Amino acid sequence: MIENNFVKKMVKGIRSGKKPSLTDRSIMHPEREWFSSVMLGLVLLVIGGYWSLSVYQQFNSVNLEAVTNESDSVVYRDSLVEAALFEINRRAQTYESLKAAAPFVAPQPAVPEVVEAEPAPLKEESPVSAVADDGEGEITFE
Amino acid sequence: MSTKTKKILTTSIITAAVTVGILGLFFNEIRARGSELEQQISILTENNTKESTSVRVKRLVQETEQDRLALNNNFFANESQSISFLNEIELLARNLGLSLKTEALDKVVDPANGAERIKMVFVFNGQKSTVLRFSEILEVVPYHSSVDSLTLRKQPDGNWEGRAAISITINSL
Repeated sequence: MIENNFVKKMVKGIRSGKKPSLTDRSIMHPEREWFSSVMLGLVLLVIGGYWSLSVYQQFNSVNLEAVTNESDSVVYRDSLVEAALFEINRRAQTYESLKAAAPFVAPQPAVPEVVEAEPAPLKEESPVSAVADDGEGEITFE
Repeated sequence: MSTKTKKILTTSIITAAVTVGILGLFFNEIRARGSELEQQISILTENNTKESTSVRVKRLVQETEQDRLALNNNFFANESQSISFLNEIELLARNLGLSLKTEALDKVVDPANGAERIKMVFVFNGQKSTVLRFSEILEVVPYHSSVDSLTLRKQPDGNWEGRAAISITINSL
């Protein structure tokens, strides 16, 4: 506890402009300890206040809607589907048009046909030679 | 050192220790609460993401129902559907005036992607223009199909014979 007389002496010294002596060999120095304690407290207070404020602002500014990121886990290749549907429609239209353009031939009733004839001798002729006759014998697509 | 000074020193030390302890306790508590809050925010974020994903998937399923149905109809639902397809092809060939014979009907598995397919081999005979037209029809049957081979050959009687192998994919989903 600082005594009143000592405080008065300090204030008097400050007002008179006297500087304290540089060498102070006393172990217990209330003025020095008081000053350092108050300064240390102030520094701790400022650091603690700054830390508290930063933590408060960190958690106070959290916006859950903002941090919700859009996930790309849902993959739907709509361009591929559109291309497939386009191709399906095109094929269906072609199929229907070819069917419609095809001449209808009424099915003939099945008549049992009995033909008695001697089998003709087998002709050893390849399809290739048939092509040579009129130029259009066999067409193959693989 | 006087007794009074000792008392002051002791009191100051105790006060400082208690203050540091309380401050440390507060500091630790704030850190623990902050860590807990971060975990809860992370869980909430994850839940929100899952929820938005779920909503988008539901909306996508509803919006694409017609498209998926159209795609699904482009495949054989099962093997037995090939019978109705054969009947349709035979009727079509008869209407065109072609004689048609189904030479093979097999279920094969595509080694490339494991898809099951119905492979059919048709042999048809008739006039050239009709055979060509029937070949074109086989190329564009309204299914997910491919013409594996096609052979057109002129017969000695002037007619043409076609031999086509086509494969239609079975829906395996």
